[in-house]
Amino acid sequence: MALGQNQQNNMKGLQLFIADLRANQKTKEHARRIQTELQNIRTQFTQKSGLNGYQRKKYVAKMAYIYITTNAGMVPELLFGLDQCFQLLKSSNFSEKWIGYMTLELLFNHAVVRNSVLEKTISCLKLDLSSGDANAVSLALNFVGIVGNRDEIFADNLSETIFGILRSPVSSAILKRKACLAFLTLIRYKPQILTNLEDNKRTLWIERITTLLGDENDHGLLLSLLPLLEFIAREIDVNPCLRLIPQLAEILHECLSKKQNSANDADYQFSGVSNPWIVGNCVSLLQVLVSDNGENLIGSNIDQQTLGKLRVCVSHAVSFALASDANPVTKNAQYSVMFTMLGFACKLDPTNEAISNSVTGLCELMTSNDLNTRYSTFDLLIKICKVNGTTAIKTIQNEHLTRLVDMLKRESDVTLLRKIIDLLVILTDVSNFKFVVQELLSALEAHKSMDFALREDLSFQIERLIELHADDLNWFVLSSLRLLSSNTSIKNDHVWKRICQIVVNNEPLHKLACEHLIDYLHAPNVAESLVKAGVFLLAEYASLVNDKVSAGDLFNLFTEKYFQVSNLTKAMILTGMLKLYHVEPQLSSVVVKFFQLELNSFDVILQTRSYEYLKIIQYSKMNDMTFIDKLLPGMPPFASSKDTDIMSKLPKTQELLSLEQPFTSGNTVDSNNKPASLPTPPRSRKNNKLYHSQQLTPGWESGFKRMLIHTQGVFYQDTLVSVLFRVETKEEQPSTSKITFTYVNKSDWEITGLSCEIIPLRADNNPPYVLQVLQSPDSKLAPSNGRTSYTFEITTRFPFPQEHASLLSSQFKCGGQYCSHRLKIGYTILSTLSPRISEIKLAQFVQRWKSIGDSLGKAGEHVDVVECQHTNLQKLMKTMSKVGFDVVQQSSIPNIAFAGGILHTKSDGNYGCLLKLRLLDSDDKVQITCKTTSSGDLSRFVINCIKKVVEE
Amino acid sequence: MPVQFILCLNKQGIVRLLRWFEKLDTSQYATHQEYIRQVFKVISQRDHRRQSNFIEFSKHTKLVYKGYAGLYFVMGVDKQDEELIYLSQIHLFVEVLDSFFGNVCELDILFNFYKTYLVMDEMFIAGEIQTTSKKELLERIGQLDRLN
Repeated sequence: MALGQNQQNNMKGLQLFIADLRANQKTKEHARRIQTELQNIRTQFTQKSGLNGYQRKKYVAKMAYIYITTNAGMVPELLFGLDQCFQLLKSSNFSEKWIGYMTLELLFNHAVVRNSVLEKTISCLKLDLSSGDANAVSLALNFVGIVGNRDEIFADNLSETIFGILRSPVSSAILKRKACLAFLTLIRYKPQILTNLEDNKRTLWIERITTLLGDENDHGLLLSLLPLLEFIAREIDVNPCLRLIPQLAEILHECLSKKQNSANDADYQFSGVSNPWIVGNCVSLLQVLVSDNGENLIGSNIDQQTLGKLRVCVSHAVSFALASDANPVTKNAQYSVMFTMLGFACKLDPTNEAISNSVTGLCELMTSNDLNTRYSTFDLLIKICKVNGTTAIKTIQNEHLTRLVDMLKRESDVTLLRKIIDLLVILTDVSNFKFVVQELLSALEAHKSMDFALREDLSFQIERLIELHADDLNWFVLSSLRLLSSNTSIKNDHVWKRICQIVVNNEPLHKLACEHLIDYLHAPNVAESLVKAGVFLLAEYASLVNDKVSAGDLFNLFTEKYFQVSNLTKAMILTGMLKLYHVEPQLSSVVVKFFQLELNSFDVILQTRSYEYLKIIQYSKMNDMTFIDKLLPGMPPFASSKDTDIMSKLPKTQELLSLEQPFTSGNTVDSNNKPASLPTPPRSRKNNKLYHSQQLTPGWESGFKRMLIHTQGVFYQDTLVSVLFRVETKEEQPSTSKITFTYVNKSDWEITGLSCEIIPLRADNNPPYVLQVLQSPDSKLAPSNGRTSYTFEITTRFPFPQEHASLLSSQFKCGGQYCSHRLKIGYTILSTLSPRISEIKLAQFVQRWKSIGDSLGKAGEHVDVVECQHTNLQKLMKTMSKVGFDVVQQSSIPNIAFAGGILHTKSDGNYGCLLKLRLLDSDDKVQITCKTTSSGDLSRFVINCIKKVVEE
Repeated sequence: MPVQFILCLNKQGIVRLLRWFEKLDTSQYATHQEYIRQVFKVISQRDHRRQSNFIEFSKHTKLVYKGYAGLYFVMGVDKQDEELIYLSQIHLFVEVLDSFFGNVCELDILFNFYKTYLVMDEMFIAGEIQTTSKKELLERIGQLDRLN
């Protein structure tokens, strides 16, 4: 027997009721049966003797069923049962509690329910969330995950508790993942839960969440965690998430490189292929983390290895999808993985060649037999064109434009048609707009059965294209007229007004436009907007087409149209007739007759207008024919095109129209053009808040000092881990050093989820030093002495104080314990001292000292005193030599050490630096004097570093 | 982006399951009932052999749907989202129901709607999928179903 056929929890009365309703669906009996039942439930609920748990559960379940089967139509009728729902929530019996929650979850869709029970709900949830019964907690978490975004009361009252469940090491995996999603629901609704926290606390909370990614063994958690991380990276703060990139790459790699059908890891699999959800969620997080064009991948924080891994993933995904011919379900999953990866690939490798390769590959799928694949192909092509612009567009233009046009003619699915049109519009530029517009117009004419919304859309697209590329005025007018004539339902007045403006302002067009208009107007069913344009222009320029059509014929034409159009157009026709009379006074009798007839019009405007025009004709005939000349002097050119600017009328949400211009455009494009609706770049990528919000791990100073003096040694250690450092300064370019941190696991447990990050003072806005990661560490370390290394290069661009040295931030889990360290790296301006070449003599030193003094005076000098007990001259000289200075070997002056060296920077060049360290006999102090060839703060920076080096 | 809603309708347009993960945007349809009616109208008019399983439905929403015997399973998703994955998602849901009830049919869902919600809630909250392991899901649901 299948699990679900278990009869234990069945409620007989409920089953009967359902069977009853089903028997007379869609009849009056149905509604009556519901009413009787509601009456019955109401009576039961008000019984003095009260109900037992089972009965209560049964009746509430019946209410839930009534709600569902009436398509959520009977909410007010069910309100009376809410109290009983809450009785169920308070029950300690799981099935009763469950039915209570389920019903409330359904009814919570409706404000009328929410408003009356919010407070009560919160107090129930609080009880259940802190309950010892995991199943009760899970029901409460489900509830928050489903309706927690309907009111901020949930976020305000429950976020701490739910975060507690999420971070607690004793919560079960199921509770954790539910807590993850419940928490996500809350912060989606109210991100302030996190943004309003103090910096330190927020950093800690986010860190707790990011370390959960270390729990790679529970993939259920992975699926729930990824969307949460994505939201944090996108909306709260991207920086603490950037370090996850190597781990994500590893997960993707695992997931995609697993042999198909290997049963070992069922979670990475779905129908025998890579789990599309893990891939999808990973990639959509990566899409947020990796900036457009992938510059931050190549720039700093990602090593080549990770990048390589990601690229391998892409090719795996593509080869799987294209190779096998599996059943539709599998195929669907494979394509889903492939499309996801290809969408990401263009960020990964934004070279023109790579883009054009993926585009070409995709284009092959355009002709797939499977509709869904075809649809997704178009969708992805559109996305790629939007992100990668010219390259992708050119590739498709060159190879596949005709094929697309062909598909446009044949496609019968509206959804697909829409995608094809969107794609074509993106592909349109100066080189092909005439062709594309003609084809789109033909499609508009051919697909008469196209649904209304799509026709509207398509007309709008065509209109926009015509407008965008309207350098050729003849072409503009003819295409616009064709557009007007082919769409009888176009609502937007813009097109005909625009034509009128353009024609009026360009004399050569007057005649041409009129001739075409006459042809169009003679057709039987003319679009009203075309009539408007026709009446306006023909009346204005009737004299120009006299050889073809006389004013009299035009009058007849107008009369004919008059009875087919709306009042607004009628009013225009009346004016047109007056103008015709002006051109051809012989028409007076028919025109007058017409106006007289319209005096009886039902419409007051038409009536008034006719009356006025009648009077004008009468007046001018009796008194002064020049009167009408003065009234109708001919249309002056339009002053500006602002009023009808197409861009001001763009519906903001049109997907296509929000596209940033990848094509060159005509001069009619306005700057109102909204920026692309691409994922917005995370807000906080560009500040150095991250640096300043870090709390350094106590005891960091000793490692920092060791690093100042030595080129390798112990950077940090505690009972679980020790971190060793090694600094190699590049000989040919001393402003750059390669630094390696090696993590050694000293505990007896495995270290998991290790992730490291170097946090610079700032990464852009002219940073004093820049970083490039060469190798990321593995995320796992075997027990007792397992080790892994983190290597990066750091280049000093200009002098900076030691307080601003970069930070090493690492976090990991070990034996169920969460650990994180923030340590300041002892890489300072002193690290750029070039290796010793020759010894320096005292005489040379004195001479240089003097020459710096001569040229810079006191500007290049700084003096400070530092306390240090138990030191002597020998010790001092030895230390300075280890730091990298050339030390003058002399014994003539017993209490002063002399040292010098060259400091290197990439952008500001090199500086000479000289030091005198004088032992003050008084009380174990050293006076340090420093001169550098820089008049800035360099001497002070150097002395502050030296102080760190020598002070005890 | 999360799923906006999950709907299961029979071919007469009667709801068998509904779950909204966000507040109804009332600018277009005032009530859930109207919304559902429109969804059904759009889907039932489609030619299922010659048209894709995706429909642009409103400004913010597209529908991904699939018909199984007498039932339509529909998910409302964000315009930007990739559709294929939701098709797999629907399929996974149906597969789990199928294993849970043993050859699931409309009647199972109808008479055991509360158990079906039990399955749904173990699979989807916050509009996201919680786990894709059928084995784990069935164990968990079976265990919950046996609780008194």
